Amino acid sequence: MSEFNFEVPSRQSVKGIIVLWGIGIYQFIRKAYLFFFVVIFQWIKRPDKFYTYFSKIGLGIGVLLIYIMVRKVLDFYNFTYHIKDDNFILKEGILKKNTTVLPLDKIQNINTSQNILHRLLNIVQLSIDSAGSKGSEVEIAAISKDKAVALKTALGKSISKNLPKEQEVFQEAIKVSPITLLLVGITQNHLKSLVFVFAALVGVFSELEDVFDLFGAKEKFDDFTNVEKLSFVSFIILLLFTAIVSILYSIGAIFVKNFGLKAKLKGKKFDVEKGLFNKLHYALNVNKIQSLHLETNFLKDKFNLFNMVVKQAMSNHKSKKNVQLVGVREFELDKLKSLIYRDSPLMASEKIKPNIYYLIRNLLFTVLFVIVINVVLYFLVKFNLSYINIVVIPLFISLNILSYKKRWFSISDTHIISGSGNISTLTDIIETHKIQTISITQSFGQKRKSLANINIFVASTEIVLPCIDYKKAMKLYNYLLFKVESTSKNWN
Amino acid sequence: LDIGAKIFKNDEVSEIQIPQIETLNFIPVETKYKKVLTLNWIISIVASIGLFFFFLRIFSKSSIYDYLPYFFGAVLFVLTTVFILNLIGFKKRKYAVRDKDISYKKGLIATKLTTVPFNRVQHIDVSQGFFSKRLGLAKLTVYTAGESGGDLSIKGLTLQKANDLREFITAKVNV
Repeated sequence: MSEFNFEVPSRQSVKGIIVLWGIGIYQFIRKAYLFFFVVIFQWIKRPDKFYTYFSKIGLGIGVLLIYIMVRKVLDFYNFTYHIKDDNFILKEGILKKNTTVLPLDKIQNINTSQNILHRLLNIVQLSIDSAGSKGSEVEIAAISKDKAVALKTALGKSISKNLPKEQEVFQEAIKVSPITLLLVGITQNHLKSLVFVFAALVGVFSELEDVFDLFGAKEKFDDFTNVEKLSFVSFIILLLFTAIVSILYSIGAIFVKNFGLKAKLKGKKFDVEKGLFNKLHYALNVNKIQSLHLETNFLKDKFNLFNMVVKQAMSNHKSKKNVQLVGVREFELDKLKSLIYRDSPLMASEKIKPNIYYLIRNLLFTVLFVIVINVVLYFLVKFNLSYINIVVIPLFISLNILSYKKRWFSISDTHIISGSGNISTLTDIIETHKIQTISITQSFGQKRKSLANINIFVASTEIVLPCIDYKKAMKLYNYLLFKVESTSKNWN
Repeated sequence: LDIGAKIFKNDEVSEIQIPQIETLNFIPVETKYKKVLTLNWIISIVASIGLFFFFLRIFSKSSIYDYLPYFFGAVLFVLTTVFILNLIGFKKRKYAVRDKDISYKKGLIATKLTTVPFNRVQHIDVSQGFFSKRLGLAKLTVYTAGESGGDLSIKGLTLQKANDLREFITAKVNV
């Protein structure tokens, strides 16, 4: 037996108090950063006047810090967990006591992660996810490594009880080298991060403006940011600089997040490790995977690279349960798919395309949208979009054509595969026995053409099969319902 | 000789063997529910007119002032259009229960049919709004795992019927 007895309530690691303090102070700074900014600004502006306030401000911050520290210590002493009668029980709360009971057989996966504080103290954070509604996630902010491992096995016992004993070794499915990660970063669709950086820049500017305004220095700010005074060349330089920074940032982010990415499988157990500073370790049960999502684009395709998201049942859009894998090669992908779908292998079946009406409708909507925007802007603010239209209209049309070209689906006895995307190419894979709900919709236009959409809901996502011949759609609807209702397999 | 091919059988399931949802008898919801729709519409109209006058006072000196009548005109138009479409399409609101699933369809211009298999139901909920309660009506919601898009709710059932359905489905789920 292990040296840890989980039947008696235990607290978090004592070192954990430091982590809790760190988290508390971090949250405090995040909430009050603008205040600090103002304080520092005031200090620079009028050091003499500032010192008269300094004692009061210092006292205020000191009291808050002491409150955070005391509060976190009390939190620590009132946080216990134990296992009793196949339930994981967690008690927390200083005045308002809160007890969470997780039945062990409902536990979906147990993940550990380490931020920098955790690593310095040689402890980990452990989170337990279970399928179900609210409050299905439990987090132990600080636990020693050995204890985390012991707790994992104790929690996993009831899961493995139901599974046949696997006398297998881990099979490595994916290993991503740092060079591949750089390649992934470079081949990323940088348009999105460009927009993000631009928005952030605008956000910082407007916030700065508020701060300047606060000190009656608005004119200075206006001088500083007057775009008319910036020459065209310096504007282009600024734009280029923004572009380079944002591209470097997104390459760096991918590298840091996914450094040392490894995925391996043993029987039903799926293990993923990644992260440079914040090390993440996922352990999930293959049977609980709800859907696979693959993504590639023109450039990535040239290098034979895929990004992949493994999704599990979600209660409220918590993306934590989604495991992201990047820089997966095609042969690794095939291996992973064959290991995940070992019981019912993926079979190639006929690709079905949506009716051409799908493209025509989207083009019509695009034209309508462009006309409305033009008319509204012209009559409301007398803004003429004609030059922008020359660029935007062909772009929209080609995006629509691309998204029609990339749209397809296929249905086999065991799987539904759906392809979509415009700039990137997306593929979603679900198993038919994991379907939760099916619906069929017909718009006015579709009715006239005798077409319909089928919407398939699984616990992690929704898949739309658009613009299928109505009779075919009805057949499919009946067939999929028959598949779900006649299966003895559990969805989770 | 390929013996494997002889033993392995995977007969195609003929279409007739698969139950057809088209042939099902769908039951309309209670006509009384039109009253609830009407009352809700009246309340939303009254509320938006109230809000309109409130905004007129608040923004009396603002540049938005001139646009307020257009904006609220549009709101009233949308509310009323939706209400009228709901009334005309009311008889399209139908549900059906089979041994293994529950279905609901609605819609006049755009139609939607949803089916939830009982072996995927998480829990079932019967609720009554303010007006529904006074008319003895209730809403049945069947929840599945995951995002809310996969849930099914039927408005305008009698409370008795909703409770019966809940019990029927609960019994099926627990088997």
